[in-house]
Amino acid sequence: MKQNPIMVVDTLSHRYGNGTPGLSNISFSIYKGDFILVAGRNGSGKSTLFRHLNGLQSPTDGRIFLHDRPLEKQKHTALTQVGLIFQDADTQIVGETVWEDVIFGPCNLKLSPDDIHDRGVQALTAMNLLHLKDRDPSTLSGGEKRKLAIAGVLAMKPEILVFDEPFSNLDYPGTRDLITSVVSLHRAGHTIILSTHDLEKIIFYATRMLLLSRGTLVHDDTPLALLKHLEGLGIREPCASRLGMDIPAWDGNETPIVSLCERTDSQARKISPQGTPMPEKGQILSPPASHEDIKIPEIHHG
Amino acid sequence: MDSTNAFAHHAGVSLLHRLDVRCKLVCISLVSLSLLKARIPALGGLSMLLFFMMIHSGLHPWQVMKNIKYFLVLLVFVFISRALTTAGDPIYSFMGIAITNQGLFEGSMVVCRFFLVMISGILFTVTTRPSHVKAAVQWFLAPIPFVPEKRAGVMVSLFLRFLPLMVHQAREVSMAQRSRCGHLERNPVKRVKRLALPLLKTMVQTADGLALGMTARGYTENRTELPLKPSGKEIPVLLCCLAMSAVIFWG
Repeated sequence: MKQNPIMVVDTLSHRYGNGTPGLSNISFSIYKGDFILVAGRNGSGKSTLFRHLNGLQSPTDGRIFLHDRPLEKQKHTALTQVGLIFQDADTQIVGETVWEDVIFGPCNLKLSPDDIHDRGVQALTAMNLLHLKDRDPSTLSGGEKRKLAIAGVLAMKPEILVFDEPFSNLDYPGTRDLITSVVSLHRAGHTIILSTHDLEKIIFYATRMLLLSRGTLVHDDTPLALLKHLEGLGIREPCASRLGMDIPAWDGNETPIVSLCERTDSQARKISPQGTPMPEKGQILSPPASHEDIKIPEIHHG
Repeated sequence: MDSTNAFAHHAGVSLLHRLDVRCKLVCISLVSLSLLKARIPALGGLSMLLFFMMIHSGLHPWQVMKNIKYFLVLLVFVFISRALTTAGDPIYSFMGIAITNQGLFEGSMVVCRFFLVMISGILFTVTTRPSHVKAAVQWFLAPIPFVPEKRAGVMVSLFLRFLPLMVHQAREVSMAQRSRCGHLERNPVKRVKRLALPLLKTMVQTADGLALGMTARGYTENRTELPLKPSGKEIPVLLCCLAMSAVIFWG
């Protein structure tokens, strides 16, 4: 039986104060358990879209429904149900210690001190940061700050986690650590939406991909089906895909959460279908198109 | 914030760190008031006390001096203006302007008082979390009708949060300009302008980001506030401070 979407974005458009269009006519649905990658070049509207999902920005046209109710009528619920992790973790960190930062959200929810304590401990434990609870956040590493920002959002118990460019400015261990955290959050039942320029790191785990260009949603399909559309939109195609190889997990010999080719959202619209064949269920992500056009650069010795 | 910043809170276990912020606020107010009447012996005694507290709180006096060097320049101006404008026995005069004995003495006293108030403030900032200051401001303002105590508390805590950030950003901008030989510019107005504009822009952007971050996590004035926890040493400290201030003020 088909499940109801958690969120429905219906012909969403947004214009900035100076009249510049930010988003145009965007429609898609989010289902429980989705792991959605949102990709697009700088200025394509990813961050603006994300800020609409939890009500931080309001659409000029169109509507967003959260559990079948218009989002504008439940903005406070949207803030708690859709946890947004900003690109710059420092922006999100408001506490003077790790602990104070994590309980900032639960305090705003007017919970009892015991509940606040429990949520703080749970969130820090989930992000493996409990041992740092008395540290000043400014002394944390980039990866730890990013995990603290996630813990701060987790303490509000959101249903959907939205990550805006989570891997920017992170070193290799920090990125690996963050990928592990994101994947474990998805496995724990959270619905994930994540934007990134570097698809290679996370595409292995995604179940769906949205491609944005100039504020418009141009593709909504499985990652595998969209691999050959990336370069045309200014997004780097994963290296393994360019070389005609299977795309491995970036952080080791992991298995995908859901078979990469399995479509979790049968309602997902292919806005600009390019005729890419859907892979068989269980097939490892590999480029479906021919690779005659792949040019391997010559290596000059000496 | 880095440990060399004297305007940021530093974690610690000293007496000042453990004291309830409300007690610290009352004490700092009493000391500042009594300093208005303090003469040489009281100033000497208070200087020693504050120096001892700086060491006890893990604050290096040299680092504090480096952090307040621009304020020290301000104090030099205060001293000069006092020395030149106070009437008394002239030591040296030129074109109708005289430096007087009384002027030098009064100037030294004023500078010394300002300096000690500044050190008290730094000790308070270094040993107190902005969130505790916010809670204390709310506690003090709560009985006053028509005063939005929660909003005032947030404003104070945000100011305290932004002060070290501003110092840090100013250092960054200054270093970025030095790396492009900006220090070779001799015109002080141009130098201030080149420092102030990028600093202001960064601070506004940071404040905007912080406001967005707070909104995204459902910030509201009617939130659960965690209670302040007294250490148990507040009463004796308050009594000592009260007695000392009374002796300085009326002694």
